[in-house]
Amino acid sequence: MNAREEILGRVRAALRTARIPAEPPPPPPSSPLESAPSHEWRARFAAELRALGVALHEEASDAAVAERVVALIGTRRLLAWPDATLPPAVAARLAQLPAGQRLDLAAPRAALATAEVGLTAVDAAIAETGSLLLIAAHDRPRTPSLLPPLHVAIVRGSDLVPTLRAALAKLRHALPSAAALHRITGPSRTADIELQLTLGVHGPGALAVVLGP
Amino acid sequence: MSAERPLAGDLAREPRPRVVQLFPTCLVNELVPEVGRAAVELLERAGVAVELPAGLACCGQPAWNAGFVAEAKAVARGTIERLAATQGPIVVPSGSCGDMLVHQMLELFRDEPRLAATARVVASRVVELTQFLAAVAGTFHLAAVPGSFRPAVSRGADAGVDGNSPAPGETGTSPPPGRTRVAYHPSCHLVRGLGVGGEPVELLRRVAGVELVPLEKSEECCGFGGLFSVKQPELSGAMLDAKCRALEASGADVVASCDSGCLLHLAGGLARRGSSIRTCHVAELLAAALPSAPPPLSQAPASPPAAAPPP
Amino acid sequence: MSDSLFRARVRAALADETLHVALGRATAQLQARRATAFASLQDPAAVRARARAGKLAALRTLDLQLEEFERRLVANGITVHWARDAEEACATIVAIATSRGCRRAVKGKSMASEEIELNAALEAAGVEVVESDLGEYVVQLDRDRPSHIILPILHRTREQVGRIFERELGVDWTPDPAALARIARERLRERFLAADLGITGANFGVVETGTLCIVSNEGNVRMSSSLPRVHVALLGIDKLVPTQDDLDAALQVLARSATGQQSTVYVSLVNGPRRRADATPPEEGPDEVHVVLLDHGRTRTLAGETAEMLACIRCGACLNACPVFQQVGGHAYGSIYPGPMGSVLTPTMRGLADHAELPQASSLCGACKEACPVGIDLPRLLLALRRATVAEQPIAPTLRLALRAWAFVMARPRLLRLLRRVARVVAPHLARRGWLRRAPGLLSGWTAHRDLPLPAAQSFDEWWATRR
Repeated sequence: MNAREEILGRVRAALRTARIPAEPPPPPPSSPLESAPSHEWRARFAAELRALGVALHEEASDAAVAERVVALIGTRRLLAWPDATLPPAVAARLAQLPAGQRLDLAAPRAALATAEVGLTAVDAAIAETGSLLLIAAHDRPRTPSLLPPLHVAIVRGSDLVPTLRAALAKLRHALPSAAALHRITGPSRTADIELQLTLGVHGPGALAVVLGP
Repeated sequence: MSAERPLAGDLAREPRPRVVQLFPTCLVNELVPEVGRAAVELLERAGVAVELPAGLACCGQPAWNAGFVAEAKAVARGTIERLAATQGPIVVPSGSCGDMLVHQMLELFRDEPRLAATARVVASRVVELTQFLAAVAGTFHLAAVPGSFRPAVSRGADAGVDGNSPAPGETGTSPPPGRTRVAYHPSCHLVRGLGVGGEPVELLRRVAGVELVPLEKSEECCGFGGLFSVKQPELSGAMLDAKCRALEASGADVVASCDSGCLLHLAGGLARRGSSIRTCHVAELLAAALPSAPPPLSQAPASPPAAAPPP
Repeated sequence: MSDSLFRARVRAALADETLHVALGRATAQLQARRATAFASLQDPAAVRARARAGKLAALRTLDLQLEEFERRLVANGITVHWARDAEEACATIVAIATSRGCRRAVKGKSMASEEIELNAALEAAGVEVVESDLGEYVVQLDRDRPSHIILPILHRTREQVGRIFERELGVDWTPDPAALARIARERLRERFLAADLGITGANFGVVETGTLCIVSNEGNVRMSSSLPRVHVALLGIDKLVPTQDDLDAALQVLARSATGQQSTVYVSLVNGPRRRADATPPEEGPDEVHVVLLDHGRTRTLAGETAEMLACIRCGACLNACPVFQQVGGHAYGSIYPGPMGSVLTPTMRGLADHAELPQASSLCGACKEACPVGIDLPRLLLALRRATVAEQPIAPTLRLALRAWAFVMARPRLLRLLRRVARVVAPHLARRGWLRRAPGLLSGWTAHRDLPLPAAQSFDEWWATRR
């Protein structure tokens, strides 16, 4: 018998004697945030980011977002999502960066790993936990939010959702065809040594969110 | 698995039970009868008649916890059958034996429908002593615990052979008369098994002269665990040491609990360390605080802190 | 593992003062953080109930769930393998590596891979493996074993970690956790960039979507599942949750229970290999994703009384809450699954005969059940294993005899009264001031650490009789 059949056989045999408590169904999921007005989502998102040690920059216009992004990048080497997945104002502003500052996504990985700032948009932002959701796709590369020591994420007001459940519902059409979805909640961290909080072990040690209108 | 049990609040409602059955437990019966006597005194002062069902010994928990089913059943069967033959609430001065009667019996007799039914009926009537007392708190007075109060469980730890005179060298650490610093040890099966948390503390708070001192990591197990203390002496001993250190750091004169097993374990450990901290069952402390001449019930406080009396 | 080995490890752990201090501090902090994190939920009990319901629902029809999960995985482009035991799982993963010419593997933290001792198997086949979780990296450098399922080096001080780095990596000694993490980041970054095989576990497998859910705080799991061209995820057959809603509840309680966070920093939901290798530039991500579904004794845990144990989400809360674990730490258990959950998992998965002592290593205080975010009744399961031990395993004849004699007496109240009178005559000769300092036989375990009281001069029932 092959492993699959044998394991399934063992499972069926075990289930005949397995004592699994029968219990009444739990209450349906609910979050007060889901029924709250969206300006509360924004306030909660901001509060959660602060608690996570994420630098939050709230900007009132697309142009201000673009200026803030460029200011955060400064003169550092940049690994960014393709223009098509960034807000047009940001893409336009990035085009003015000195030649060579923005790395070519087609470059070898060793070159990508030299980036000092990663720049992405997001596919959703979760107010309840201050999380960013990024789909992994050909036009949404994984490395900008992973390799550089600083990750700058652009969140539009329309990206905000109250909870993870709401986010998954929002993305339900995009998800099945995506290879992966990543939820990012704050900078990379560890507490493995004496529970001492240390930032930036493998992923970015700093995360900045530019929150647009 | 939880049976239909009377909420403690139901006990405070009229008509109050007039008669209760006392299951003293084997430890109290054989080793610390003072606890049983204190329970009787308290219950009677609360206006209920106490009955002691004949032929009770043990709930069977030591064997059940060690995995000896046949032995546990041999002991438990008689106990639940004798209890089932009585009427009214079954009051138990122990969280651990209470949990055995309320939860574990149903598991023990899961494969014997007749006894399982008996166990369910018994479980539905069981109430731990302080749970009962807190529910009927409006019916009795607690005054002050006397300064000379000497809990009985510690008769060896702080007493000479006669059981009364203080041990040599202890006078310096004696509390001032009329004030006893008490650390409360919430025993595991009482808190996590029966869900009895605040009741013993509420009762102790009503006693003048008792100063409750906080105990670090109070809800952590003292390491007794029945046969665990015998079969895993190193582990149990290490847990006991940790608890004794916390007790010593609390500045308590007395550690009070609702479980005589934990108390004997703690008393044995404290005695071995030469500590002057004494152990006593919550019932003993409360009974010591009963006024010698009880006021008539009509003078009972109108709204006692523990439970609102029924209209 | 024989009883004496277990007792010896317990004694050694108890004698280690550094370990004791480290354990006390860490477990207290972890418990406090967990309590705070749950307090941020509007209705913690409801979320726990949802998480529990999802895990139990998957177990009730586990055969069907596994078949459906496999169908969904395959539809997502994932290759599915089944492994009956450790050997088969190792052989499967080695075969994937060698057939694809993979020589350099990076691994995310995976207890299942520890369980099957995957690293040794890969290295024997010429595949270099490096652990990328900081704690696991230290364990690997030190040729040690993890002592906690969430915090592998809970038993190590920062000074000790500094020594290990100094010795194994040739860097200057430092006790600074931030500096140590920086060193690990640099060393491991090279390995990530060069790796051609990424190995991870998975915290959950979502049946309805065929998705793997893998969490981490450091980012190493994202690296392992994103950078190498082949990703292998090893997961026990107990890791399934039926729906995305079940996943949501499970994630909410996992991070809170494990580290006191609302959410782990990274949650990777893996649906399969990269979809557009042909795009310009090509999509990032692995070309192949393999899932290895592992039994290795889990179906033995599923049978009978202990089935509920498979609802475990490996958060470690029961370890931190357990007063026994707090005294001895993880290594004393002699299994990579320590604490209360390990005391059920190890004897059921690996056999009671070699691990009969583990279910005894509990005072049944219930702190584990209280801490468990999916409400596993660990004391009930430990009791079931004790019953199985008495029924199936050799038991010390003195213990059996003592229990039988005890039951015989306790079931006969009149005999008890007679014996009580005998004890009153005999015991005082052995006692000092009302306490026994050394008792014979079984009771010597008690008197090794505490004194034993004598029977009362007048029992309660005797007093009751005089009163009437």
